[in-house]
Amino acid sequence: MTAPVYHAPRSLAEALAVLQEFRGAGTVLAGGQDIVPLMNQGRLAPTHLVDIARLEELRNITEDAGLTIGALATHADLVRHGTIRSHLPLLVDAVRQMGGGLQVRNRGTIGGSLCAANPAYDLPACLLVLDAVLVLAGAAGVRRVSSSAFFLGAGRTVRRDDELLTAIEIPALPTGAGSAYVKLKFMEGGYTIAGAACVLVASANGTCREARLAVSGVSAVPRRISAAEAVLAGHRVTSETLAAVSAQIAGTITDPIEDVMAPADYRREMAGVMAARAVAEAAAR
Amino acid sequence: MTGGETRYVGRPVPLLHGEQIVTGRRRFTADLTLPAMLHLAVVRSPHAHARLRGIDAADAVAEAGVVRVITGDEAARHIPQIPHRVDPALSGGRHADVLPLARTTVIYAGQPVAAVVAETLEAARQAAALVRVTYEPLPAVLDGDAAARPDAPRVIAEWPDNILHHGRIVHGDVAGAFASAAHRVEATIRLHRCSTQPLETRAYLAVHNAFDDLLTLYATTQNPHQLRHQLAGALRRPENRIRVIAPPLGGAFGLKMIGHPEESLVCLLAVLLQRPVRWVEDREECLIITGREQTHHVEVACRADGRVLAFRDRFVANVGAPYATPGWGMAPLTAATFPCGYDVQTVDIDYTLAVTHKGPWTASRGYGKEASNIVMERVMDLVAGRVGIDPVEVRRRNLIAASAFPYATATGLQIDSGDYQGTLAQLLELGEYDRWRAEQARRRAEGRWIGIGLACELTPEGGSLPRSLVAGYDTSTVRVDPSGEVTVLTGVTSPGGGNETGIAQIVADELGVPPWRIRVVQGDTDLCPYGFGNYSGRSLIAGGGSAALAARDVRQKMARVAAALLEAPIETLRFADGRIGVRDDPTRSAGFAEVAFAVYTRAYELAAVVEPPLEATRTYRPPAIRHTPDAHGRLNPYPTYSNAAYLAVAEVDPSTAVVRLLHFAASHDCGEAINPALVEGQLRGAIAMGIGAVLSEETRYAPDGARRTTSFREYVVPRVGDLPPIVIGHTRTPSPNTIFGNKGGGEAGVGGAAAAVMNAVADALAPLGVDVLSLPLTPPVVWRAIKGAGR
Repeated sequence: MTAPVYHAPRSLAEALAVLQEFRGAGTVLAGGQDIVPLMNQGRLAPTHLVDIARLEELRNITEDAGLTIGALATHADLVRHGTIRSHLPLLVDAVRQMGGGLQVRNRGTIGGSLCAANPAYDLPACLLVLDAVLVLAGAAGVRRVSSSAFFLGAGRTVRRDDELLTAIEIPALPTGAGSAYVKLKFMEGGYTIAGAACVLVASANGTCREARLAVSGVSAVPRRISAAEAVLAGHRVTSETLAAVSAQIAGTITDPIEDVMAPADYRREMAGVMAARAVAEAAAR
Repeated sequence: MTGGETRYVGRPVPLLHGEQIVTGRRRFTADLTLPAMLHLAVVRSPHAHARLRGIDAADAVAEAGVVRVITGDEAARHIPQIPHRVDPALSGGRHADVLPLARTTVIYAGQPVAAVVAETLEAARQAAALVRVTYEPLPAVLDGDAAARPDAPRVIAEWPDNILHHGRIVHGDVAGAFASAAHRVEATIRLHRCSTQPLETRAYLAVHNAFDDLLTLYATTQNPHQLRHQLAGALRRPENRIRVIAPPLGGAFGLKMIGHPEESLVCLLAVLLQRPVRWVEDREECLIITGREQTHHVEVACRADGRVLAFRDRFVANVGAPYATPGWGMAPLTAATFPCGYDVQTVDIDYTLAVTHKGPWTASRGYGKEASNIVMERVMDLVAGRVGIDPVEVRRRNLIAASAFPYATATGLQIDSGDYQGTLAQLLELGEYDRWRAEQARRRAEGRWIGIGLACELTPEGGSLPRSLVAGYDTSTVRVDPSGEVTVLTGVTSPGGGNETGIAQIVADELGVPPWRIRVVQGDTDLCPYGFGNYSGRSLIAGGGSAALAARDVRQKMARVAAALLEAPIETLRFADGRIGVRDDPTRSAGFAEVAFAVYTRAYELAAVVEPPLEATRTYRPPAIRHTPDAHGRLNPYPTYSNAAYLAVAEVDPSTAVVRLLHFAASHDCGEAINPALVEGQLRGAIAMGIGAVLSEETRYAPDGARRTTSFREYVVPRVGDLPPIVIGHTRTPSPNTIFGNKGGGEAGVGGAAAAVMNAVADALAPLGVDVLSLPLTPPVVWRAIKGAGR
């Protein structure tokens, strides 16, 4: 076995040049929370490791109309950020429910969490309900991809291997919006069984002007469930509408992930339960 | 001279070396390296049952850095078989040859078939993946009950069936009791397969010194001297040409008992290659070896008031593939420890150990005693339900009375002492039983599913098996240097729980020096007296006891010399604060070191009254162990019996079926604790283990026997945030069979906590008509049970 060639570019341009040079053979290393365990387990043997940790400019979180989060912002950075804490509490929910403790929070990055495209991860579903846009930089320039188009399958995204995810743009939420992310796992150290992210926009009369709902952990890619969103639109959040949301989710997810941790029927029902809880939580915020 | 003063025994003295642990500086076996050290990786079968058609190691051998690839045939030329730690054949069971590497068939997934030695770990692992093994998969027998049937396919081809061991314990008029009983309660209770998972996995490092033909093995082991004996048998080397050193352990729980194939493989390759060879187990490998999984068909005869008249159990234990560690011995002890702490003299217990193509059993904390407690406590709740009394009341009516000790159980155990009613009473107060019952009623009215579970627990400790190197006694040497420094060399070892601190406390009190000045040496067969290591909560019974006796002998020598030095009668001397002085006369004393120096240097005058050096070796052999059968053929393997009671409050989420523990309390009686902080640490850990076993941990297999739990992603162990606050109280009934009145404190909690949680979940779901008779209680399992109850 040969050790990977280690690259530590000091600028975005340099990083993109390295990726371009070793096209198809470069593995991007950010916080290392996916890559390093896989390497240790012998399940991944990169030939070129491109460590982007020195690209400090990718760690900033900037505010304009919305929020632009650099891809290297750590999970801990998200939880510390004032605007995220006050306006995007679902991201705080997601980080707090991650396994792995402080080490993962301090090392893991939002960009890594998205590019890994692990069905069990929490942030992808959150970005779907935030209508986030992912900024991909390549040698040929920058392109913006909707979060709903980013994920192709388990471990697969539209990011080309000469591109870097540099930032996540989150449009400002309408006034009156509440958000939440709720997930089910067995024990602190367990992986996601099912999760749900919700953004709920209330109108003056207390009904839902807009509902956005996405589930994680149950299918290869996180998905918005528009049929369940439609159940809420124009209605108040009551035990009846929550039950209808649960039923709609369970009815929509016909082929959930089944593994040693949870059978398909359980996971399907739990997606509905988590969605109802996320809606109730978002409504209360 | 008076006896030692109690200044440290009974106190929560901080762990010796504790600062190394909390600062991450403690060195474990996997931290050891030797010059020119090689690394071993094991090629393992993915199949539960397959014929080995061929092994092609050409690509592996060609890999850079690879030094040697060894397969079953070559290994067997050097190691014909691994001797069993305790051969089942010695007690009427069957013997199976256990090989270090499979030769013709594999009989469990994860079984070693080849080993690769290379210059680096990475190269060894890479090459191991290149060893091409041709398997012809065969049908696997996975279910214990199915395996026990006469027509089941054989796990061991030469055997007439799959029965490793069978036994029956009958006492009293069982048929008569059932005929006259007001009630008969029947249940089938299933305990699942799980394992112990210490944070430190196993590791072995062997080095052979050709100049004096000494093979040294650094090993994560609980039994260094017996490992030496076993290696002598496996490698056919003289026992005195082997040295086993056990560095500090990061948890053991029975997993690090001896008989694992990697122990002798590492030694063999170190001898063959004349270079040090190390193997470090990874987590995936650590999940191969398991414990438990048994089905109990229980019947109880009782009076109308809930008094149990007779207990009948027929159980089959699925012990997995035959293996050389003593895991199989758990099931006979499950049988022998029924009916736990209850006064039931009429029993019929029939047990069958069936081999299957699942991962072998190894010893797992509780060593079968946790299983008897779980079954018994679930049954007591069923009895309470049948006769319509509170779970507290059914226990009160059946527990052995405090006045009945020493108490001979129906299975022949001699329970030394206890106050079971007192322990239960303390628990009810500590656990606020009445308040939680009221709270339960209030929350049930709100539609919440909340349950309260009780469990009493009996934990025999300090065990010994006849005609085996599983002894009840142990030996320590206490040595004082000319400069007055104290060293204890003992045959007991520590799994990381801190018994060295307890031993230092004991010796400190005898000699009047602080415990942190004492050096305790454990786990080196060339330095320590012959001893038996760590199991069955024995370390402070036998290790602490022998250290006390040795320290007293040393003190006696020093007192005689001090008496001459101080010109004072020996009876007036006291040892305290590093000095030996005349009681009630502070002006007349000598330093401990001064007297020690005098013993060594004035051997022809002042100190001529004693024999130098200042060293004594003593053995403590606890009384009450009985290895000669009584009139019913029964033995008593244990000197002490700790007991405890537990209360768990659980809430089941009606939507997710997740069980959350709201409250947990324990009342524990291990007699006089040498160090209450260490006892509580043991108990908390054991409770966490019991909770995990019930709520999340399960070793699972695919229908063909392939492993499905290969990492902590699938084998979910509770973390600190998953545990409820645990309130602990102590009752203290001294054991008459130990020097300090202490009882074993290493195993209590696993079975009791598991039973209390199981009973709490059963109580929570009782209004729904859900029967809780099987473990584990993971959310999908509970969810399906709730659905099945037809809500």
